[in-house]
Amino acid sequence: MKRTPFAVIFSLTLLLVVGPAPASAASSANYKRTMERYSVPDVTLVNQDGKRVRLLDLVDGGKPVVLDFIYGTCTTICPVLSANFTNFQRKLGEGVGKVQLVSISIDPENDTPMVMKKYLKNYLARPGWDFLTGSREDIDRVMRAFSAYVPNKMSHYPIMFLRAPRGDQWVRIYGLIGTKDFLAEYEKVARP
Amino acid sequence: MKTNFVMRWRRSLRAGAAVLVMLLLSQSAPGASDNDPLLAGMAPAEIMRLGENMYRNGTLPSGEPVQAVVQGDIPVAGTMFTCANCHMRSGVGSIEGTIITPPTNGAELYRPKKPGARHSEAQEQRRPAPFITPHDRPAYTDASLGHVLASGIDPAGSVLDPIMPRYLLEPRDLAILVHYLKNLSADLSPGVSEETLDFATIVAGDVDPADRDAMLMPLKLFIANRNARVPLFQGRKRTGIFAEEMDLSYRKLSLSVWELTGTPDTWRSQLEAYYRKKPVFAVLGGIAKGDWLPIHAFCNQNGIPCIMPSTDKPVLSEDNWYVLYLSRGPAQEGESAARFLHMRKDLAGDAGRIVQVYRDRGKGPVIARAFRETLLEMGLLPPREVVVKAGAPLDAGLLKGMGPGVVAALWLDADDLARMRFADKRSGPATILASGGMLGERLNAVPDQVRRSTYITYPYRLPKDRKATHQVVTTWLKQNRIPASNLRISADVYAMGSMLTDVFMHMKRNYYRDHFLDVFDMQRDQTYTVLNYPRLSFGPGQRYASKGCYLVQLTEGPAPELVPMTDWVAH
Repeated sequence: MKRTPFAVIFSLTLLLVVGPAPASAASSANYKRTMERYSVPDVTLVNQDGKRVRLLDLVDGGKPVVLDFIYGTCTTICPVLSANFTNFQRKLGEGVGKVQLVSISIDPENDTPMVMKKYLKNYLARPGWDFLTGSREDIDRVMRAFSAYVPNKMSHYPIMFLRAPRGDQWVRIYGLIGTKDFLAEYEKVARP
Repeated sequence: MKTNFVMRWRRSLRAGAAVLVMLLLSQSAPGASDNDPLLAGMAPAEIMRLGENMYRNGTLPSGEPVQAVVQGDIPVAGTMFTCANCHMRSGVGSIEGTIITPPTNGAELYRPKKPGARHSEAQEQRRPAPFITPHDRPAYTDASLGHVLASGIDPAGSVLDPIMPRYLLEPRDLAILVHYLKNLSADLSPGVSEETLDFATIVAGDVDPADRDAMLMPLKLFIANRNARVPLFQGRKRTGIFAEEMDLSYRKLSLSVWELTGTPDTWRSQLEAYYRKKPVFAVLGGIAKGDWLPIHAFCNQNGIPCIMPSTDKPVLSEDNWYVLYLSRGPAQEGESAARFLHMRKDLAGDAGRIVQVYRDRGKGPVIARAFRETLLEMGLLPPREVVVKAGAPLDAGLLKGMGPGVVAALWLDADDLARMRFADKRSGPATILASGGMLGERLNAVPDQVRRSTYITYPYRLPKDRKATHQVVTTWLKQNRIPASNLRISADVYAMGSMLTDVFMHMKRNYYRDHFLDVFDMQRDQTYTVLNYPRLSFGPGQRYASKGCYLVQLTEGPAPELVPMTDWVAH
């Protein structure tokens, strides 16, 4: 068999890897972006290390914040949201510490600190990404505050929020996005 | 970490190149058979084992994680999520929120997806919009399945949603995965016939006859009630939108009662003999005098689902897939008590010493072990242990001997607690912990004078929250002339029955044991049908449905009220 030149294989591979890029670009239209004002409730949650964390302290820590609602055994939506967080942190490189990522569990009964720690490890999370659990009552308060309340975890939908440091407006993104769109949205928040 | 990831990513690019070569080759050999030359010399069982490891664990035959790209530009590794995360263990797919994940099991992939494949065209046209298939496709072949996994383009030329990862696999690994998918849920499980679904329940050891009835009578009633509705559902063939599907999926249920006698070490061979005689699809409920371990091992090793047995001794294991327990049993109490002390360090008294007292049999040692292990996990000192032999007299002055300021965890039953002499707080323990699971209905065995310093683990729904469900369950039992010989047990069977109705509906005709559990895993949280627990919750791999335990205090008097001092789940 005649060997296929490496350059051809490589170009085809690149095509394959970035092939869906037009689909990704098209996906820009597939998510809904709105600006919202939310009042973050003063609740104390528990992070992956078992430490008690005041949510307000975390989101008002002087860094841009990205927040989502996930759970450890989620089947479809959260893995994609979380893989996006992983890739986002990777793209930030040395600047990873300048952004605070917050994932809030919507299955607080199962998501113990141990479960959350393992989850973050599986997603190669770097410092600056916290996974929070807590009482169902507190979690419900947070979901309601972000207009993201679902009575049951199986009914949740893909949603994430971005906010500038000390900003009073949140960008609400409804739908699953790729890293390119994520970075573009982040840039708008971090460097308006 | 970053370097590793990038290296893996680069390796993946090389792997992607390899896949392309395979795809180019595969174009000239469509419909490659099971005799894929790439898999030559490999035993089918070995291919399945390697494929299963890729599908379920995201691990390549080399031991490295599978690599893929999702949403167009997000690289993902098999450590993050796997095929089974979305398509579920059975491959029949999942529905979560607004996302529907289609099936990837052999039976579905290798048949065309188009009107008429399973429904008549007229039926297809009556489907409500959300159920219309986005795009139909011909049946997959091995080659086209390999192609779609790598490129996201199906045999009809349609591009899959970017949420479906595009896999970067070496040709041989891709062939292994294709072989696995082709054989995944390809045939219905044992215990399924054209008309019947066969189940068993288990009564093991010297079970109290009242408890046996409390489990068996409601379960038999549930099955009889459901079977009585078969003609009604058969009549829907001519009317509903999914009539044919419903009609063909609605089968009569049969229930065998497997009675296990003798010592637990002989149960396994009895179970195997019953199974040989009549294989069943799954085990429903069940009750045992003693450990559930022999039944747990039988079910897990043979891949037989076992749903919500009535047992105080569930097996706590991360490897458990096939037994869905109601709760973690007594261990939940020990764990919650330890977490409570961690949160309330003020209760530990001056000396900060913890002593736990329990007998060497029954629930006590289980609670004690979980309590000790969780204390250590939380960075607290291990407790001092006072173990009393079963049947031996309990030293009534034990508490006085401990001295003031300690935390005394008394994992004892009501008779033992009632025999104890309780000193007041100045000379006795600063805090007492007790087990609601062990005290049962006799929480008032805790004397009035120490109730202010006593905290009781309570792994159940609070009495004040039980009233409505209590009314429903007791009325149901009464209407059907079932004596409430053990309401706790019967209520659990009632909750299971109400879930099963839902589960059967969602299974449709996919009678695969793994799918049966997958559907349980996708169930909504259960609250109002559950008498004993505030909430049963589910999720892939979550095998202990009730996950909480209150710490309560008692008001004074012979019929005390329970005052919760914690949330149902406290971390």
